[in-house]
Amino acid sequence: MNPIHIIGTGLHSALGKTTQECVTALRASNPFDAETGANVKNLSHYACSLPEHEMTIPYYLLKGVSENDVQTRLHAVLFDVIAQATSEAELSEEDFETIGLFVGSSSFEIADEEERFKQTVNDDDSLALAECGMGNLSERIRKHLNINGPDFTFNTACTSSANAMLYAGQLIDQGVIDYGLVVAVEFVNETTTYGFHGLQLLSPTALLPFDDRRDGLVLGESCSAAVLCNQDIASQHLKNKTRSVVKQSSESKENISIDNNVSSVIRLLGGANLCDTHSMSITHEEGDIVANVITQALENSALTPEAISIVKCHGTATPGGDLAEANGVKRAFSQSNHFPVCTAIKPFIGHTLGACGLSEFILFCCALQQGFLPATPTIASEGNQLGVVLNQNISLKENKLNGLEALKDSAFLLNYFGFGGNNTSLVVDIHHFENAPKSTAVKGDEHG
Amino acid sequence: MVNFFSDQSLSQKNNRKKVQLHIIAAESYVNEISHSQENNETPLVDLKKIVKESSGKAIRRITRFVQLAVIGANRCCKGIELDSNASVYFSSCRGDTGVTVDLLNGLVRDQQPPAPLSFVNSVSNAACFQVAKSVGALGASNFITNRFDPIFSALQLSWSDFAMGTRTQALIGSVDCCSEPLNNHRRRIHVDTQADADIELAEASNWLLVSSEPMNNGSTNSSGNTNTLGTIEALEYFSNIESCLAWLNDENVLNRLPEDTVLGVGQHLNDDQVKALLTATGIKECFHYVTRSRYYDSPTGEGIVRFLSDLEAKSTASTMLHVNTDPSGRMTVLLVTKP
Repeated sequence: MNPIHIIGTGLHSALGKTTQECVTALRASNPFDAETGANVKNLSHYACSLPEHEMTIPYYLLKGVSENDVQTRLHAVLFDVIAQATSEAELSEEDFETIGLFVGSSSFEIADEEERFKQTVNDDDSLALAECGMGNLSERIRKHLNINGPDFTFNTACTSSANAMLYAGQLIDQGVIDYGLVVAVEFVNETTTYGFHGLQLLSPTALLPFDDRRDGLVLGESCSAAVLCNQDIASQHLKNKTRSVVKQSSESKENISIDNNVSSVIRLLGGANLCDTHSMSITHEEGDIVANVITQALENSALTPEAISIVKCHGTATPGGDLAEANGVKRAFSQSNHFPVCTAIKPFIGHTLGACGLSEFILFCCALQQGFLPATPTIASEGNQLGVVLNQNISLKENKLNGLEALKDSAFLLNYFGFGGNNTSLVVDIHHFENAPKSTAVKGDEHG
Repeated sequence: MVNFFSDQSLSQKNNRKKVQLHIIAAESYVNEISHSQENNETPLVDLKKIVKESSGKAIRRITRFVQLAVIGANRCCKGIELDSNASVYFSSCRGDTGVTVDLLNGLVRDQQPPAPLSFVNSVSNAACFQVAKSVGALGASNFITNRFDPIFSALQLSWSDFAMGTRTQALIGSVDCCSEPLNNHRRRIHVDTQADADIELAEASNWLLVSSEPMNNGSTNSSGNTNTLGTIEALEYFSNIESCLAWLNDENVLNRLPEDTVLGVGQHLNDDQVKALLTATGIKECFHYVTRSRYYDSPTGEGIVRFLSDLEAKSTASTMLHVNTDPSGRMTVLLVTKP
């Protein structure tokens, strides 16, 4: 697959309401800190009773939105996140006419349906699941934005929005569409909370991927969007963006930093999706399917394992899930001349299920673009039983990645695995435009 | 216009790789529920025995939605050894409403949390998993849909994977499942007005096994043949009928439609649109596979299967131009030919 460029992103998670807010918070965040870690969610207003000690659980709730405000989540948050991405991409009305829409979610609007049903359950004609079309959310988005391009809804559990990204990229590469709008949605709801509780997959404390102390996942909610396009369109977009920054600089008579977000772009290089028929709820612990999907993703991207310097792990912190991923990653890179640095995003925003594909993609890639690697100090440090060490320091240099310069020749792997045996890996890089204006900055952050 | 076109002579972009979806097996399993049946205490036929007959195994603890998927997929693949990268592309207009309704009723009415198995089965790709496992498909599995023509979106993505060269065989299907009580199911799918009183409900599992190459490996497909049943030569998408008609008026398109081509009338087309399409193409016959006396959400797959079968009156035609639309006027076109 030819590289597909990401020219606009939007994100709302426990870290913040915009992509930049989330990335800034990610740099400063400590998963164990009460201020920046998971919220404590009280289930007392939920429909079903649980033993008292299970009535509060850690949960990464959306920042700045009341927990009980279902309508705001579903509509204001969703459309705001899409607006972030489409305005950064500077899409025109004509672009919206033909853009392809790719929606990935596990639970869609079930929170809304739970709320509605609770309010009407005692009516004579009450009906559970009164509105039940799998493509309803996509229709809502299409009508809101006047999109007339093809739309696809993906419901493959935790790989939903990762698969949405992969196929959006493929259809752009094949010239079927010029732009793809990928949207990922996962909001807190009772069905999911109780479902994971019943499966005994929830940790009562914290999400510790690959750590010997790991005892389950912590749920999270997030909503994200990304605009994808091919290289020609991305180059034009960069020229327009740079022109406006330079113009702004000359008008204000100040030297304004042309930061890495203008001179570089996140690119999707390829990916793969495989089904593991071992078990509905977990991939085979030996990790052979994990290794196969990684290998196929690399082949699809025309890369060898040596090209990968960092792996963004799925890292759910479940006993079996992490074991399978650890075995698979070790197997996939067993012939490589180096073992990549491993990182995980779930300790910062929780497991956002169908939305984790795109939400973690954005956080991971934007962090790298801004010169740091999400770090989880004291989680999965040296000597753990699974043999996968998560990076302990946000500095690229401390991770022997030699700063942004080294990353220019490197690619990165992102893993996602879901119920139903669905396994997806994506391969990305940060491409630096050679003819981009050099920074003349006094302002702006120091990178690398 | 968005092109999924297989033939470069008809493509407007020169870099489009030539891809055809050769249909080597097909199955349409439809359960019609008569009015008298609908009034029974348990109107839906038990599918366990049919699951066992079609898959060779008694697959336990799966929902009706998954049972339908397994039945249709296994009947489609009967007698055929799948490629090592055979992938499942599964779609449904409404998914497994039955299990979701049970979860919600349990939660809200009975204040019982969902049982673990019910929760896991509520994930749409539970059906993908069971289908892949039962037929031995070791490639990818995807649940993809859109609101108005789910199987078309599944066909689009399998085409995309064939064009990438990552897959050579795909099992593509759609399932629509009823849930009890049926009067509630009618309300959910909006077939509950006075005008709908005569319409019988149905549930269906429609599947196509497609390959990047025509069938010539000596296998026998579900129709007992050793030949390819047909080929999907074009998958086209248009944002409105005007661009669809303009494309159909193109000389290259018209030259591809033999005299005996039939117009496959998609579920959502109205009479004016049918008339406009017949005029634009010069096609003389319509293939109305959607019967007004019974309803389920997404019958496009059934239309393709019935066109390819030898039992259908219109199946003597060599080519079907299938057109469908949605309430906002977007159009989908499939060009299906027989060998």
